[in-house]
Amino acid sequence: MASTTVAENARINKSSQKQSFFLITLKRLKKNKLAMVGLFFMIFMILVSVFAPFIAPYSYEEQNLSITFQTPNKEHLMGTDNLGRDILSRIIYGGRMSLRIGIIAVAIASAMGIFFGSIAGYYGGKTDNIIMRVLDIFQAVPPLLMAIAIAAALGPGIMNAMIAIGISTTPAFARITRASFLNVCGMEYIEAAKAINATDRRIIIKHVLPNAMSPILVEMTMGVAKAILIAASLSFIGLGAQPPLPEWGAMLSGGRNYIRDYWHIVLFPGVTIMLTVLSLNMLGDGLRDALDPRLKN
Amino acid sequence: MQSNEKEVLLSVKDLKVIYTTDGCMVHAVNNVSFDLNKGETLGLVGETGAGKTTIAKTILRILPDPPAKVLNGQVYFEGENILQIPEAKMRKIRGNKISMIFQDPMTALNPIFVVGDQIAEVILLHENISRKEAEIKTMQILEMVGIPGERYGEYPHQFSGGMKQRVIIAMALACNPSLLLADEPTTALDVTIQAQVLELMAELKEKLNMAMIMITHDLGVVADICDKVAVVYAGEIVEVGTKEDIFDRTKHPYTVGLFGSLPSLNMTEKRLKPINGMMPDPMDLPQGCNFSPRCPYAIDACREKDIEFTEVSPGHFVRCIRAEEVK
Amino acid sequence: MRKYIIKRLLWMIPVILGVTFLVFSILYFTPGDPAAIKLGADATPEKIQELREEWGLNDSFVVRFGKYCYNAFLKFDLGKSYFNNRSISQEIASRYPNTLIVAFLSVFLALLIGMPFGIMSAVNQYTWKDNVSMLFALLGVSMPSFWVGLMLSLLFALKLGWLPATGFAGPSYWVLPCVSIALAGAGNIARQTRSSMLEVIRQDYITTARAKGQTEGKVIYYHALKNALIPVITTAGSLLGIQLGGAVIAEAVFAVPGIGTYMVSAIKSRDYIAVQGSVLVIAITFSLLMLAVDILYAYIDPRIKSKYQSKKKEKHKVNVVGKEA
Repeated sequence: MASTTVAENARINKSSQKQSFFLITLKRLKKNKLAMVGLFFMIFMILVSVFAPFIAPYSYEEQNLSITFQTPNKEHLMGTDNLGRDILSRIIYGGRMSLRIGIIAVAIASAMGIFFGSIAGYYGGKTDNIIMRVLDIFQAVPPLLMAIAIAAALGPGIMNAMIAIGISTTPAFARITRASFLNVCGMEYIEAAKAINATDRRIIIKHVLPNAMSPILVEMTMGVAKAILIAASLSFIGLGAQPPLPEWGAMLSGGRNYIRDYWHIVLFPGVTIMLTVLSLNMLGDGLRDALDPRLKN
Repeated sequence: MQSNEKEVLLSVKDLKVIYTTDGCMVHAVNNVSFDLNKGETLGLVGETGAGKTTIAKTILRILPDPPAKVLNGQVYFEGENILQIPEAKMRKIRGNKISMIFQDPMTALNPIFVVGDQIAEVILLHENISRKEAEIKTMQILEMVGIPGERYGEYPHQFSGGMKQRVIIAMALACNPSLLLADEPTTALDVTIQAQVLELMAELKEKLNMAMIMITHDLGVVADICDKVAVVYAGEIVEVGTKEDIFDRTKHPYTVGLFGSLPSLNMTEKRLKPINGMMPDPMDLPQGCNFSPRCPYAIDACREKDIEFTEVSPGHFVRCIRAEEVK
Repeated sequence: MRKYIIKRLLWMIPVILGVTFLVFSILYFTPGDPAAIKLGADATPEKIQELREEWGLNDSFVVRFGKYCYNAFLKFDLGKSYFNNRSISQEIASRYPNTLIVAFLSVFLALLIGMPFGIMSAVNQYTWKDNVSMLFALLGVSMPSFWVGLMLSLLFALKLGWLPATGFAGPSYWVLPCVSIALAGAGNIARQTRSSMLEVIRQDYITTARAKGQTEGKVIYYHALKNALIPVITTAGSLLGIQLGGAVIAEAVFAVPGIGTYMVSAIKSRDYIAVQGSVLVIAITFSLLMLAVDILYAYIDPRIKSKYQSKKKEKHKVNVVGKEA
């Protein structure tokens, strides 16, 4: 009976804390100027991608061979490429590709990583050992190389790139989830939940996961950044998005042959990738600081 | 008493230290003054967070700045205001004439260097001798604190907590300091080890004729080894005097409260008497006497303006306007 | 200590077999028949069948995997390219040194740039020096390295003409590929050094060192840095792996005749057995490097070293007791 009330109390406390926890994090995040800049830039990028057809001045695939290689001017703010396509419009549509690849790849990686990581962290012992040894093997292949191998096997294309990046970044998520679970599972409210005979699944999903989420959230933010970079690399060597799709890495790959005379073709997509990844990293840094229990009070 | 023992070694005057975090100001130490004679032991007593450690770190000038800042006051050591001297000169004093023992022996030693080298480092810094000689001297000091000299080459993690504290004591005493600042040297240790370490410190203090400031919240420790006692509350010294003054002729209500919360063997009461309430938020100290919100003797006058230090008997100072009525 | 090293070496065997299995199975399930691709659209089924037999493609997965391991580990033979029938081992052996030069030099460069900035940032936390160097570090990790490579070659090779843009004929050719992937690494190292340094500076033993009368410089570079470097070594180790992957991309930008360009052209010609061999070689290199880092780690951190020494002593005691009984 006593343990029931402890568990109940823990639950009640948690639900009332959930909102305040979110608000506290947001409040502390607001103090961090870099993180806020990152957050606003990301919101801006997402809005631009969603409303691309209304914002982009031209179509991303419309070719006009009479205006190839134009340097930035009034009609084409970022110039035109080798087929006379408007680079700004392609970058705006490209956001749809790159952001989607980043987000879906992280969704795949975090889903698998959290699944294996939580099992390893929660059950420990042999299960943990086996999962960790398999991860050791996975991590013996550098992530970019793993992504290249998987993408090469699956063949080029955006969907395959997402899967390749997702699988190759899974071990990082599994490790972080496991470490975080090991921390949380030592807490008394988990003991209490076990004492009232809650099923393992219930304990993991209802009690452990919400409390173990902070470092995973940070990794997810940074993970989108990493995924966008890997996706760009894949496209660059011809494994990611295929022409005429305006993915940013593919734009760089397509423009590299003209770099000597028409640098603007390569400059703008690269800067866009950099700014997007930079703001995700700033947001991730800020989140990590805001969620750091050592800095609380 | 010999006359040279009456010589003043350390004199702290009107010391005021603040911490600034996120634009908030924390008054850690307020108008603290006290004198310490050669060879004497002063007990600095008070609750956690009262500002005791800050006082000690200010004397050694190792407060992290920022966030800490010494606003006001002087610290005279051997007649010189050491808050004013250049850093290079202060380094000659640190570890040499004044040294400090820290609270937690588990974390006070560098984990990747052997303990012997960490002790020899102090000797090499302050004495003009060769490395070989410093090593020999280190082994002698280790023996002095009860550790076999052969353990020179072992790493901190190979020592137990009590042994680590002995290493730290050895490090502090390596250059025969005239003043030792001991910041709760026994708090982190097991009770049985506590007694051993205290005994060792008292013995070495006698042998080396050092003065010592013993920071503690344990009145038993004070009764054991201190000559003088200063009671600190919310960054202020509220009462200072000889051990006898403080224990037998208690004048400040807070000191009375401290003794009331102490169990004693011949006690007739069933319950301890804790002091009601909490120490005030150092960011937001009350008007007038800092203890007034918790004080059973408090009257309106206590809350009006800061209370002056008054001498109730020679050398016994109290910061309370109703001191004469307190028992 | 020796026992620890032997234990780690033995653990390498299952890791390497596991990696081989992983890479082999990824590329085994690749759609498309290499023999049919090789012979083109107008090949007769008989001819294709003949070639499949020759290449051993008709064997079962287990047999093929066994044969591959046998050849790879006992004869150092990674098979013949489907594309041009050349020995993959020889191709890789002639190209791999170039890749290693790029990867190692870039890690070295990353440490050389990243560590001083990280230390400076930590020592001057929250000052303009900290802010500026951390902003640069963040920029470094946020740029795609191949784009940095393109931009650097545009500036220093095509516009200024100071350095060669492509090829790998001597040290001047190494500069651009190394720098272009070292920038991200330097950012990474600077960030790691800073946070690790800040963690250490907070520790009590740093206060102890100050209380001894030690100079601030010695406190930082003698007492703090050595402790702070322990996690940085791990970062540098995994950075080697990242740079081996990054080298693949940098090679594509600068046309360096390394394993990366080999792999990329193999991917384009769907020569999967060559891709498989290349990935395997890099993965094994990386595993060996991580092993070296682990052992280095144990030498630097006395806590790890003595953990194994004391275990050895205990075992020894048990043996003695066993004999007596």
